Amino acid sequence: MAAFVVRRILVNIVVFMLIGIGVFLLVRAAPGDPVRMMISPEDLQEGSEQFIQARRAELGLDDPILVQYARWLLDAISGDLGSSFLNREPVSGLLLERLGPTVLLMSTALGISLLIAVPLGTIAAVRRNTGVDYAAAALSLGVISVPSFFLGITAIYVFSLQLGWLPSSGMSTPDGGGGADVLKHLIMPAAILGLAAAGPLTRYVRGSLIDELSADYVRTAEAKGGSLARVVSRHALRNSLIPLITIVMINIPQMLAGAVVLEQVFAWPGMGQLAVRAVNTQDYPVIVGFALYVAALVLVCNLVADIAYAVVDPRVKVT
Amino acid sequence: MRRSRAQRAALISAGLSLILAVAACSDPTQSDDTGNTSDEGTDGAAAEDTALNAYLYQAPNSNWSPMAPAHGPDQVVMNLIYDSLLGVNPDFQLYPRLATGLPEISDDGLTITYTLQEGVTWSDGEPFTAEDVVFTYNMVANPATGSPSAGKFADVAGAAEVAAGTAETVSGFTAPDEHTFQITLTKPNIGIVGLTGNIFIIPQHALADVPVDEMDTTDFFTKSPTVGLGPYVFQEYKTDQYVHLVKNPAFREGEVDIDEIYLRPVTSDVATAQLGTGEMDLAQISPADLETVEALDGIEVASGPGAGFIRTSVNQQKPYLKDVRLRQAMLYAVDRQQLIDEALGGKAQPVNASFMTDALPDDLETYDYDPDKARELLAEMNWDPNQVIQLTWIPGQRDRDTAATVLEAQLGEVGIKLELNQVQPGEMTDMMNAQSYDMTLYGGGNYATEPFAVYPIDSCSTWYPNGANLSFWCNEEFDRLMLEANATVDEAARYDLFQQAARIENAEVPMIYLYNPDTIWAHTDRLQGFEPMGDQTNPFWNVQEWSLDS
Repeated sequence: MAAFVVRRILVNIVVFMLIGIGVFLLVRAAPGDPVRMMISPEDLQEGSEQFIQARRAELGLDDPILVQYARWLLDAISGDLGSSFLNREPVSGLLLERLGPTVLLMSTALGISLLIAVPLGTIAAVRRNTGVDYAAAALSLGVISVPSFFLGITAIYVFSLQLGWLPSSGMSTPDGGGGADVLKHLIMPAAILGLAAAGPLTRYVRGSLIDELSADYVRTAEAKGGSLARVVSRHALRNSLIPLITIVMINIPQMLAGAVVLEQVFAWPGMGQLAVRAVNTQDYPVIVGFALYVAALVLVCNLVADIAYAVVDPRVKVT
Repeated sequence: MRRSRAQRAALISAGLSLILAVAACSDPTQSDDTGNTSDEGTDGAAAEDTALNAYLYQAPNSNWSPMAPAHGPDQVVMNLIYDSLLGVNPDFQLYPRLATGLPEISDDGLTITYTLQEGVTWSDGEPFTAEDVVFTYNMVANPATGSPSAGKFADVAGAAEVAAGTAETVSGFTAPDEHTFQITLTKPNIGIVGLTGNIFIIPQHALADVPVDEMDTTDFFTKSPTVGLGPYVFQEYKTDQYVHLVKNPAFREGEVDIDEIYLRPVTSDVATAQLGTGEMDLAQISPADLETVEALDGIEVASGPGAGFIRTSVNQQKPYLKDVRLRQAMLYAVDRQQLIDEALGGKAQPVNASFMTDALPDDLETYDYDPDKARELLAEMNWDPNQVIQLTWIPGQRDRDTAATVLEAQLGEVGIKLELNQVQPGEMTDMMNAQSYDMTLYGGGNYATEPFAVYPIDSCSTWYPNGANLSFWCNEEFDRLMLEANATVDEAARYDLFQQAARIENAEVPMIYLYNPDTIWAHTDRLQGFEPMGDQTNPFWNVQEWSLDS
């Protein structure tokens, strides 16, 4: 087991390095020029071209790309991901500052999605092909099909504008009251993000539980006279949740993609807003930093999924 | 090895909590945030404090430096925390702010003298003097600070040496006494007043120790620009959530009425909704939201004409786009008034030259919608109807997207085949660099305050990337008139020259002029004293006259 984990970690480090190279080169291969894009065409004047050239040199953009990469890699190894072209703030600081809000949003959304998916999927499996099952299926497909920004704007319209129950944006009221205030701001974005993730999860819980319910040990448990509720909760549900671990881990990076959109809609001060702005302004160091963060998240989630799977299910042999 | 059910259950729940633990990691920032907000709650104990929530159309770059490349949302903040020698009012006329009046220009046009108000202090209590102005102008004129505007000072004595790195300060910026700031020029340049009079003055005493080449990264500008001359003092930027400003007790016109301002970057949809919920007191809105917002209770709408305009450049490097009759035909072929009515709810003016206000003669060709005339011109020049012209633009702004499709349809009707090409900003930059586009749709600029601002978009010497001439148009007579105007001290004579230049531009059509959109503001009816400004970066130009009823 330990050898398995060590090997997986080493493989992941190599993959991570390759992603780093790929992102670094891709970002610079994209059309455009970060310095030129800082100045809108209508602000150009005599002397602008000299300014642009000087600025490019200063930011090291004139060097051969491999030199740029080597310089970046050496800095990155010592923990320095460079500085934003826009305001020269260190990238690691910019990302770290936004990590808290994004993690809070995603973990709450994940909790919400599990709270919806596990009970709903269980009921749908147990009451297979009944009205409840169909309703659950419709709900799942519905939330998958409707884009989250639309749900977001609709929710703002209903809960903020019409009902006045919840604040429409931001993470806190400037002079507002602490945790409860943050919670109020959190409800809508987290619920919508969680709802979107709950759709597919519900289907997985249902499918997985249906498999288990037809297994021999379930029939045995039923034969022993266990009630349906007892058989499901004590036997089948637990086993059916094993594949869910993988699904949830794979879903976390996907959820981040949803968070990027919802952070825009709700002005949630997370990484998504930073990433979108960096892409729009070709802020290379920030884009690379963000991409590496996402890459790390995906790799760690996959690793955790593999390990957790092996630990939870003794049938999985790791060598 | 077989595990008991209890062991397995424990492992499963361990697995699940591991998932949650990874997702939750730790969020120290979070507890920080809540801590801060409750702190503020206890600080702002005074119940009668008034706070205005205003919309910021994008998150700021968090670089509040007059030397940074212009970025609208940061400019909004700087307009509140800094002050300038001159300001611009909603009619786009210059008016004195830190200066006692408009500057005196010597008869030879080589000396510009500003007299500064006396008794003005910085928000930290230090006195404001002409040395601060000399310091600021030196910084902005020095490309080593990261300033892209150094070119504006090319005619100032000693500016070339600073730009070349052979001198540290510009000899042409002087302070003969504490309340006088003088600019000495090597050749007359009257436009420099309108183009540089509104530079934000920064405090020498807070920045004197910062090396010139670190000016763009210093914490003062990126984190805490807390010393200023503006009506408000920078308090805090809560990342991506709001910029918090509090009133400056030392403001030269006395303390303002509204105690605090929160500038909130949200999407325009959300801003519109927040006007309805009362979370937003002032927002710029799009014409598409006009009806919705006008129907809201307690919200008033006001608009001001803009200072720039939406246009398409026509790349005259391409042989098939050189003939002036083609460009004239394009203007006749497009029903711009209909476009304004449909895409902008009537909230714009058609444009027929880049000049505005007094520099715009009233006898220009208005290019009213006349498709027959367009066809005549095309027939006269033997336009090849099979020649496809590509119109490139960055999509995402509703009125511009509509304009592109209207152009395609209406030019098609007279026999000009337009192909629409939507690109990302980066691709657009590359196309401009390679001069590879046929036509581009874009907008902006400020041509209303200083007519000489038209020069960079039209002259032979300011072709992109040495300027903003994206049509690569060149007319030597036009250039001569513009340069002569800029060197003419007498105002009437100067404006006469500008008008002559405008007539050439109007007839030669270097670009397809479309419209000048109004800037539409919506605000709570509790806000008194608001005067709508067409410049979306300066809604607060007269904030000292505002009050907010509770």
